[in-house]
Amino acid sequence: MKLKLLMLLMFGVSFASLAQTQVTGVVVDETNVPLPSATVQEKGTSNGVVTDFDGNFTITVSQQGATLTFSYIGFETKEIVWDGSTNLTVQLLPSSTGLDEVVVIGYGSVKRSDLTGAVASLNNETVTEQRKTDIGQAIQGRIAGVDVRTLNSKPGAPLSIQIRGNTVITANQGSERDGVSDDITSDPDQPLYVVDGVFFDNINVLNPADIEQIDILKDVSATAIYGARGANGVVIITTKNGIEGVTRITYDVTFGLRSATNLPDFLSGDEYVEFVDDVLRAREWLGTDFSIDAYNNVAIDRSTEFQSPEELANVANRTYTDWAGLLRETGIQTSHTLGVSGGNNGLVYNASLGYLKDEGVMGIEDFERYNISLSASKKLNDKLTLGVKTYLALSEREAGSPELFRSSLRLAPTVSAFDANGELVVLPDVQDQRFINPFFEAQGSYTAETRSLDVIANVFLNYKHNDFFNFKTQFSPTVTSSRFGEFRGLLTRNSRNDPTRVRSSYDTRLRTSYTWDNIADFNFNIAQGHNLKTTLITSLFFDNTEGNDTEVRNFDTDAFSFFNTEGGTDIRAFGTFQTQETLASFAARLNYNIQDKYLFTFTGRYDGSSKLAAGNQWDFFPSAAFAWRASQEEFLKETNWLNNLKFRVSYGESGNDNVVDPFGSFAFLNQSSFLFGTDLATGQFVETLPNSELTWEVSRELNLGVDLAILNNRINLSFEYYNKTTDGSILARALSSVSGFGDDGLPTTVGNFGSVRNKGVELTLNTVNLRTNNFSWRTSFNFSTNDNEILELFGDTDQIPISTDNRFNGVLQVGAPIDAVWSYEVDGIYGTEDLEEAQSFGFLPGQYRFVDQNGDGAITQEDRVVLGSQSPDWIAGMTNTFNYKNLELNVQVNTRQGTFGHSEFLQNFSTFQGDRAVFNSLDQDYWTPLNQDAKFPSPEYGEDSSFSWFNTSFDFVRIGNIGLGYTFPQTILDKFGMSSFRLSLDVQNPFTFTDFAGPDPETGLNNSFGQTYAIKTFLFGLKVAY
Amino acid sequence: MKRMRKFKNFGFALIGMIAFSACDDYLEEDPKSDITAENFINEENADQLVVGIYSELRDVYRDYTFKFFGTDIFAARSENFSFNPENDYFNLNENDGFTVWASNYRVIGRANLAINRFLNEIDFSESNISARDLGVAQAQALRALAYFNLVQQYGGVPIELEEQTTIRNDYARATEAEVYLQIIADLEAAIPVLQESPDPGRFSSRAAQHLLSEVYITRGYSSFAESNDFQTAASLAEAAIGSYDIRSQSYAEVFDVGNQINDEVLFAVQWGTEGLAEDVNNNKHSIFMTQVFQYPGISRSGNIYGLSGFGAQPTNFFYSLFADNDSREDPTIHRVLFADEETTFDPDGDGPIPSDLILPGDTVVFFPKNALVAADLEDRLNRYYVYQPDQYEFGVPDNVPGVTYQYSSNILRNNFPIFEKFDDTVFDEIVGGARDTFVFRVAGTHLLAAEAHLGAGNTGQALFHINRVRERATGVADELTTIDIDVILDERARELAGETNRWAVLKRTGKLEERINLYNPQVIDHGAFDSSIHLLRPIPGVEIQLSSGTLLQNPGY
Repeated sequence: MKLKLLMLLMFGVSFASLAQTQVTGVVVDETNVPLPSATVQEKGTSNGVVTDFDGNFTITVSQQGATLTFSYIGFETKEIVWDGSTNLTVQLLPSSTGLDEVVVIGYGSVKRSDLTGAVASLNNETVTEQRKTDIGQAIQGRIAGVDVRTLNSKPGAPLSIQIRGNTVITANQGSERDGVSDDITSDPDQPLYVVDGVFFDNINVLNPADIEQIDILKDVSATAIYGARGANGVVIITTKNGIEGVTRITYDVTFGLRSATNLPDFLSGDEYVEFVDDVLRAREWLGTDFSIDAYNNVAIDRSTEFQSPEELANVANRTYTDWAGLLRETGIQTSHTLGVSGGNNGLVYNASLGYLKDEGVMGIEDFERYNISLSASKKLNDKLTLGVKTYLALSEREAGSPELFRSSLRLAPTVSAFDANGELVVLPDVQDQRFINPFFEAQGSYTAETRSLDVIANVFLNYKHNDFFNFKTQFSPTVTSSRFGEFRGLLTRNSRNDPTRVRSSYDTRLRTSYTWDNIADFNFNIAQGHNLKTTLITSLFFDNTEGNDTEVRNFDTDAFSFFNTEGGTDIRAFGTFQTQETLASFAARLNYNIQDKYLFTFTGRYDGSSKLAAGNQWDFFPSAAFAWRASQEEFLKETNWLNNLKFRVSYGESGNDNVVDPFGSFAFLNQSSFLFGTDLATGQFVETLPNSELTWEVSRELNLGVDLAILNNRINLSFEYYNKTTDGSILARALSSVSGFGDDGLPTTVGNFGSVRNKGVELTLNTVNLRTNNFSWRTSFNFSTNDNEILELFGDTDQIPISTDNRFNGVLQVGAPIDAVWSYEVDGIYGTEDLEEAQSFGFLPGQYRFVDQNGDGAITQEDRVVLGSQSPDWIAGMTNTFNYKNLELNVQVNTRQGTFGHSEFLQNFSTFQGDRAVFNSLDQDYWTPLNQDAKFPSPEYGEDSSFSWFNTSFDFVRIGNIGLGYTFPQTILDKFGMSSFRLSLDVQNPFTFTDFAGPDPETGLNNSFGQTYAIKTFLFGLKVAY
Repeated sequence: MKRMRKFKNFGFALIGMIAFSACDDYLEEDPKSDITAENFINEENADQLVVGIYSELRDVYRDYTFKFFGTDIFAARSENFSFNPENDYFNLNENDGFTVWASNYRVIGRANLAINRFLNEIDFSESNISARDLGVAQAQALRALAYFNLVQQYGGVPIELEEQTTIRNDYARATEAEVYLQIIADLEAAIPVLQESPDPGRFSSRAAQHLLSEVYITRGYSSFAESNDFQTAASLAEAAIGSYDIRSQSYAEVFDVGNQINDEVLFAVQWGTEGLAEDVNNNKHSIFMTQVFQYPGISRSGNIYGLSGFGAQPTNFFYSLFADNDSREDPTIHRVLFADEETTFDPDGDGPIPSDLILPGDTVVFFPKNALVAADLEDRLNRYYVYQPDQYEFGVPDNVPGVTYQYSSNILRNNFPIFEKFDDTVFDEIVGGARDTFVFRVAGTHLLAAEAHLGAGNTGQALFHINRVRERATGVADELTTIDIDVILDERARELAGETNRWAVLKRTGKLEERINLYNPQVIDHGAFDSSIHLLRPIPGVEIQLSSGTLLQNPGY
């Protein structure tokens, strides 16, 4: 404030001769309601003010003919050439079209009205609206064509983001019965993330509150500027900057309670005892003639299953233990973000400090994150601007024991956690000596902690010669240093009270990378109504990762945790490694605008990647797009109800080399060892056939789009159709074992073999359903489909099973999606009447009847068919926002439909028990001779090696958030000198509607290690600004 | 490429405009933590390529598919009506046996790599020529071993002798006779070069002679046999035996876990107690046993027997083969299992049946060689489980009223004397251990010699060799006076059970079908053996699928 005064004084003295006029006025919306906190600025100067609670402002304008800009979030910015009047009333119109909104398109930005490609944007308001702690969660269900999925509900777990389907064939090759991995950074079909111009994968360390804007480039014409790496879409994240003349201090705090929700239905104590009896009966019945009479007559002996006197007493007294209930907790979530931003005298700055603590609902699971963001830029003179940005995130994630969740649900209700003295029993179930009481893990006997520091820095120099020429050079180093420490103490399920199994691991990673971009912009105003913008870019990217892995076992004590690996005696791993990749690129973009009606964009990028085989490293990725703003045509301009109508068409190429690891074209020697007598010798062999032809995989995409806004922008619709074919898909091609390569399973070589198509439609509809003086109701709806199909594999091959082992249900099959689920089709369960038929196929009554697809009288590999795919057929999201005076209510819903796959959860918790009924399980409708209409086979012997029992749909409809917010009126705030004050209460994930029996249909596909409950959060929030 | 060049110019134009230089050097990869054959292997360390072949043998010999199941002496450890395609041949199909195929071809691939690099890429100086030749000879011998493993199971297989450098899907099968010729050629080239007594674990000239002897015997039975195959085999076997007298060590000593490197062993795939995980991970001890920790008093991780890792058990026929004076039975199987932890056996908690305190060292299960009389049985059943010789197959014997140990309290359904000869001192719960896998042993060479002489019509020499083996076992010299192939097969069962490939031996002697129909309980119950199909194994389906129609499946699969 003092500075401002000083400035005013200086101006006042030095330029007293100039006309200095105080302009006052009021800013209102289209219903003449005053807009508080709207920004008023004298264009091209640092002179700016903010309106008060009544929308009033006073600004000193220096000269006639100055342009004043009026802006307010959610409204179209208005520019007025000051005509000398001293009292202005400025009406702003709501900009649900966002036509003036600035869209970041990579190495530049354009107004949405000038956009030719398919780009979706979210601003800070939307990103932070529901107080989600992770960017992935914040955009989930918000954008058509963007499938965001939680992989694991533990605190701090990353989310998977997939744009317009999967182009990478290899992605399914890791899938197995155990589901998909939750390591997103190794996911080859993840989009390219660009944070403030830097390629940066680990976006879940960012604080959503620090995000100014997220722009998602979906079609190839938009991603083409990122050429080689854009085929899976590009997510551009821009962090906050200061605004000249507006000093703002914000403080944002939340407090939440997290609890398990959508609890799976397990057998109660009585049901469990009955279930054990059924298992025993089935066991005895097996030796009989498979008649119902025989079943009724079998005698059972519970003593093989309830072995200890305590357990028998528990059964007799009906004293049961609800393990899962005892181990569930309420977690606490807190977050704080303090921000300061402002600027004057050509210097703008933004700083923020964030803290998040997020507790799990079991054991020691926990996530903590500190974020520091600092950005400043200074106008050195008329032409030169220097800027620096640093973003720092320190996070610590405790994932706890991967077994705790499973143990807590599996332990039989008939065994006790505590002995008569109230002490924890070490081995609750004598029948299974591996089961250490999970309470020890809940107390931290198993720890798995990741601590990482991410630093993104960025320094730029911008030279604006004049309106015609601008040059920017930007250098952005990033460093990620992370450490994973794991200790499996004595009293864990893994160590089983055996010191030789106690395990300590300590792994470190140091990743350093930099991006150096040079951007030259030329802006030709060829003639009236003809504008040509040219952007030329060079970009270098360097990425080096090194690290070490240590694993030691056999500890006498748990005292060291993972901090003293020398305390153990059995060294299993102690290696270091290094990889490096570089990327060099030249790119150009031409935007040609004819009378704001006909818009052309031509983009090309020429990329070279170190990862590809020498001689095949370079390729060029061109694209072209055209948009016609029909509503600007004279014949439509006068149409009152039509506010915007734009047709877009684009076609282009982009690439992907994520699939290839560095050094992917080399034939390395693999080490093995062998003992000759007692002498250990090192052996070498070549595991894979090197491919000297390895090059880019290239996607070609056609995109058709329509944008429509009608009825005073109250209905706003975007429609996209895309058809993207990826050729030369890089995949590991299986080789015949006769080649002699490999180490285990089929040998492979990586090359450009396959072809994949993704096509789909996306619909985005934003409507203002109601708007009165005090009340408004807005709806934002999105819907998208994606149809994925493998067009070609290699050679004549049209089907590659992931494994011939029946438990692996993945396949690559021409005509089927990449993530097809390939297994036996179930046609009911054999009944006692079907004994003969069942036995002819090698089955028994109570086991699945599989369809003998080829009718050869036997169930073989040939009878496996594609039963579905893991990816959804369609996804949709809807947010309804209701405003009444200062009160706001939002309800967000999202859904994924048409998903199918193997559930690790069902595999762990189904009633199938093998030869011993040890574990508790889901309350499933299983087959007995007395319940032949059951949904699931016999629990004793009904297992089939195809694991069909565990295939399921993961479809769901979820209320993602119900949020209530209250913004205090300005009249009250003024008394405290505040500019805004908002209280909110959000309930995240309150309801899930699904047929999936597990805890969370969204994470259901994933492997067991991250398994935990779906979480519902009650979150209280407060946001204040000065 | 044309398009690319055009745009390269475009790229250079950009460079000129913006002060910035980039060239292909920037994209050059320099792996620091990995090595390639080109930048690492030289004449000094070339042997590492040979060691690479040996280490793949672990995959070959840790896999028991197609070796023991479906024979006269081993069957599935499960109900007699249960299905197991490898054992009962019911629905045996192309999904079985991938490891057999792939691991042997990996041995061949690594041998081809070594031979090519040794002969064509690595510069050996004059003084190292003998090292080069020795490396090549080992590679040839191991390649022959792998081809022999394959040809016995699959018949003719693709013969590849070059390091593979391009993607191929045109592999085609040679005839069975051609594969034998290739094996013989490799071994004949290797034998003169190999050392007679190299370091333990290295392939010796005597091991190669043993192998070649078996190759000739196997061909000797075939339709493409040559007239002197058995005679050649007999000479090779005798050369391999050399001057070694198997009577210098007892059978028990040969299988003493502390005596794994001993002179009777001609070739073994070795594991140890140190080194990397792969060096201490043999599952040999875990075959032909049951989950013994289910018995009261036997702990899961502390017991001396280990864990069960392979679902097979010996047949009743196998147990019946040992005469009372046969000193091999005791080291071969455990007739008594002992406790290693204190526990109270009290299955019903507290009831009319008394409980039993078990202390470490107490007997837990007893398998008498001859059936016990009722009174003796009843007495013992108050102290431990007893399973009579006719109770080894799946089932729960009838409880004996009033005794402490009720059969119904034992959740194990297959109770039989487990194998002792492969007992290990080191194992963990993923059934890894340090036991070496003996591949060739002089006692086995004697039985080959006996078989070869018998095939050649030389009964006297055949009797000499079999009697040498029997003499060590029973102490009786010149015991047998007549011999036929069944005598040899029974003796092989007693001497070599679990060591050599029983299925292949029964197949070559033409006795497979006859013997499994007599002795294998699941085959007797529902066997589907068809000699027009099952004497050859199915080529893995995925290999057929990966071929462009050139690799043909065996008939019937």
